[in-house]
Amino acid sequence: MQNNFLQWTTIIVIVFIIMACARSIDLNPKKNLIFDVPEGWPQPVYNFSKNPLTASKIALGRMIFYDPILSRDSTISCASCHLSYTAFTHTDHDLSHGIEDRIGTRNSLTLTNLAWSPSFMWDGAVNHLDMQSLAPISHSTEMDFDIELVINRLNSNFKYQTAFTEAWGSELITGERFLKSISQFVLTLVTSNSKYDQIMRSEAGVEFTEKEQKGYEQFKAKCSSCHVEPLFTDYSYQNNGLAVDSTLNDSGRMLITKNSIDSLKFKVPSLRNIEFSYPYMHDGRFRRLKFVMKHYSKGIVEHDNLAKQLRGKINLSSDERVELIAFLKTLTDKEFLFNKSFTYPKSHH
Amino acid sequence: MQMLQKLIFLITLLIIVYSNIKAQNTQQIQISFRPVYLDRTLTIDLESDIKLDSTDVVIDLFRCYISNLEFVNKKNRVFYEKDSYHLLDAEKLETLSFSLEVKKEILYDSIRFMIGIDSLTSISGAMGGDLDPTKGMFWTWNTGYIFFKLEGESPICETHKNRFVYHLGGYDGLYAAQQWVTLPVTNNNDINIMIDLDDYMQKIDLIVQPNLMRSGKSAFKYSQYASSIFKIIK
Repeated sequence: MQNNFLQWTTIIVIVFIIMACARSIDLNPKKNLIFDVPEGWPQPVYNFSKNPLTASKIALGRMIFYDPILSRDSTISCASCHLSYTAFTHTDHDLSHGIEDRIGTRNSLTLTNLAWSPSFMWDGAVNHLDMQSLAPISHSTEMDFDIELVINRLNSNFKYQTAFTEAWGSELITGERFLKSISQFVLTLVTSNSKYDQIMRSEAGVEFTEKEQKGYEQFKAKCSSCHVEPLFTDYSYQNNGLAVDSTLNDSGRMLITKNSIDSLKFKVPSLRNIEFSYPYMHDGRFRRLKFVMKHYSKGIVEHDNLAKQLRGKINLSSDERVELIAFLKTLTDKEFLFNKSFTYPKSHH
Repeated sequence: MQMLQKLIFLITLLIIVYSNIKAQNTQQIQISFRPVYLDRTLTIDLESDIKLDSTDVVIDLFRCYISNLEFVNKKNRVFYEKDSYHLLDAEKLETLSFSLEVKKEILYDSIRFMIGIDSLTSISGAMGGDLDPTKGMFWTWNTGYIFFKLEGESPICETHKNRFVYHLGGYDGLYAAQQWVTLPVTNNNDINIMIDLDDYMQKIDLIVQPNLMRSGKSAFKYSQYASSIFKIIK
């Protein structure tokens, strides 16, 4: 009984102190930022309460993102394969490449709207955004390094000691703080201001052209069951009828689930900024959107587990393909692609 | 300012009184793990270069996650440790024992814990402390903790540098490899648990499967072996 009384007294006193301090917290430049969910979008899946955004942590994450210190020979950074001007993917390369020109087996994905993504990688190998960067750091054809050694490097680097102190309140650099900082930066890569978005928000003076409108109708009829609006993906894994590339023999999602039903399935990617994120597909086999159109209308291979929506032909006349591409280009968000707060952080160098 | 000083004094006083009362009602229970190999406490020797005889089997790395530790009395849970995640590492003695603060009146007849990390924690992003992914117990190419890691060398292994490597894990699906271990204990302030690596080495086959580094059916089977080697030292 006495024990209980003391506990309550302590709590009340502490609450009183917190209230007294509340005003000064408000003025703190390191205060938690609110993650803006665009109008009409679903709630994000990322749990911000476990990693509240702050300006200094986002800045630290950005500094890490652009730093080749993460790779074994300090030659490549995250940004080597994820460039801001191309929706954070690597154009003109079908497969990603790492240190010493080593070539991987898959095309880099775009890094956009990651707060909504329940899993990562083309095959869903990574189950949480925080853990994503561990994969390229350790992969032999990417950074070919080791998280423990990365942390050692950062711990002996004055620039990072300062930045971690600024962001996390002490110069202790741990795997957890490192990973959460990267998450903070990439979480800010939200693209939601394309022409399509402006039209959906009924903004004055923005309208689809006739061609785009027809393309949108085609899209809703033939594509949107997997590329679900407004994120333009349902985050599922599908076999979309690509012929197997015998030089790669990539069985996709099956590598993770070890279940043959997942053979040749890959994540449905978002179509946002697709105009700038070529080449297309998990192995970057299509260099232009017209080849993607050709695949879906003529090139589907009838694998046993082909996505049911692709069974029976998707008929697209040549006019319809042109209209569909016109619509897809309305998903380009120039404000996102040229956002200065996402580019190389000059102030740190 | 004076007001603030008074407050700080008051709080300090409260904390002291509170912790005194708490200390009187609780007891410290020490849990110690002892990896045993060749009938002796396993010591990891990375310095000396020993020439191995043809049948020698040397273990030079042993790490394992113990989590969700609880005390049970007549099949009812009577105590559980909060944020219960412990990485045991044979190379670091300080990781092999820890203490729990348990109310004095609690009676228990067994201790229960998981070998491995529960699936909820496995999907919850970056963690600190023993769960920090820099501890060498995390699969980077397919998210998940390695639950049990045992490596060594033997001339009987026809592998690169005669190494054998067992990394057991897999947090969900058909072959989720977490294993619960329940061991009978009496109300005692010291609980000593042997990890009988001789037993493990007898159950596995170094020639047929010297390497196992991914989740699946084999990892599941080997995890079951691993769960049977935890034994109370009386």
